[in-house]
Amino acid sequence: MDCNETQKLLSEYSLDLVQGKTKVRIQEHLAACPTCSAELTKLERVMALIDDLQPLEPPQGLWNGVYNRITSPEAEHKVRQPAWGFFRRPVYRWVACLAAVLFVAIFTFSRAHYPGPQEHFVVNEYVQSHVTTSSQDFLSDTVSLNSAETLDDRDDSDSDSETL
Amino acid sequence: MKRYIITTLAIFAACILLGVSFPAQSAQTDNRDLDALLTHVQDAAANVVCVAEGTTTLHHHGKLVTSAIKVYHGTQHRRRIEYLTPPLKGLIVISDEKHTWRYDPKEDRVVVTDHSHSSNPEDRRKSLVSNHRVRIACTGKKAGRDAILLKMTSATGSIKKEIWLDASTYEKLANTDYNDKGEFEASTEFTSIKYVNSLPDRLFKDPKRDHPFRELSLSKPISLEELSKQVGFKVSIPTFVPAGYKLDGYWVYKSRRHPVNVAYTRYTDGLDTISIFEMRRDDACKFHVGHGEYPADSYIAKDLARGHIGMMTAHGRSFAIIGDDPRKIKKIADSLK
Repeated sequence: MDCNETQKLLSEYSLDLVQGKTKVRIQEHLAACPTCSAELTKLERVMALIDDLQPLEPPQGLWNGVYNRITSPEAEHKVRQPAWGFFRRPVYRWVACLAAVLFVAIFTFSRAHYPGPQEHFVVNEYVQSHVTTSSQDFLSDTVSLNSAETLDDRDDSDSDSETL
Repeated sequence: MKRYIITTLAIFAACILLGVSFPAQSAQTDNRDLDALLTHVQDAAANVVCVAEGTTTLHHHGKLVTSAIKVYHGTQHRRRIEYLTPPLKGLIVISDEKHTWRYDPKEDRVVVTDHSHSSNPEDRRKSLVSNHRVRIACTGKKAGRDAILLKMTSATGSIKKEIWLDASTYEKLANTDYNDKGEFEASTEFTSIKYVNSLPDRLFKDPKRDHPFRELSLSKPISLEELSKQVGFKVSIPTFVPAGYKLDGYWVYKSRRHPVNVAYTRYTDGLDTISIFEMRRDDACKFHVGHGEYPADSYIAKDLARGHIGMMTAHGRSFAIIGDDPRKIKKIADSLK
């Protein structure tokens, strides 16, 4: 067995899914080939890492640091200066007022004529429950049903973040 | 002469009897064979141990989404599905007889589903055979294995599902679903499959330990009276249920977005499911749920990625009905008015 063949089967070998003669041939190759042997060690290390994976906490003081930088006098000065400069001219003040009125009008109109995002969420939730229970049928295609549920779920989260 | 006549009549009688009884016996054998075949498929889901690779495809927002997959199938209904290519890359679904854990790395969240109260497998099988035409269409090769193609058509004759089964193990090698118009809806196909003696337990380990998770769980089905008590109103029963559909159960559905209990009624014909969600219209308006946002006397129908939904209000309740055929949904909705 050569390196190419061995490396193709390496992940299955690491999970003990290769049996019989193929297993013996892989073992023989690994004993003789330091490259493939090193590859196997790496693979097993990654699998072990996945198993032991713990959620990472941000370093202590990170959030305080970010907050301090945002609220520092220098930052406030940087942010406010151009904004006030813009509103000093009366023409721009009128433009800003008009834009605000238009924005409120469009927002109110769209809320009155289209179902709100919240409705979309709960309908999605109903659909997910329907699909989930349907997928318990012994002939159902659980692979594609789970794809559909995940994509719907992601749409749901996207709408969530748009609302926020 | 008399003897000849009697012999001839006896031969005729025998021919008539055989002529009548042969097809009947054959039909009975067909049904028995089919039931045995479906039982094998159910058993395979519980006992076959294998690793398979392939692809899955479905319609999403009018586009076809395809992903490469790897499936580990262990004993006791244990299954691990890994999605290998975008847009679903990294998605892992692990399931056993009672639960499904779906971990999506994009959301960094595990969705846990409790399905320990599913219907009796025998009932599902019987319902499927009595409501659909199930037949072996042909034999061929799939994923390098000798396979048989099982075709399922509805009572109206439209194709609903095609499944390729491994002729030796009855493992599902490919599945194609069609919508109520007979159009392609979704498919999964293995390109290779390897049967093994066992798989490491860690492949089927519950992945929720280290991640935030939410539960999409249905409790044990309850009686109609108990359901009405728990949701606080008399739950409506449709006077029209499509032919072949039987009540699967009543549940209290607890939404993760609002605190109100919703009545959930489900019907099945062995292949397709119809779900009816019902809550007070006041609550639906208050929490912007389902039909709550629409005028009281309107009926809203929408196409979904898989199936259709109809929403309406009647007798101060808001309804959402989900199923495969929009005409059946509309009829159910009318019968609830």
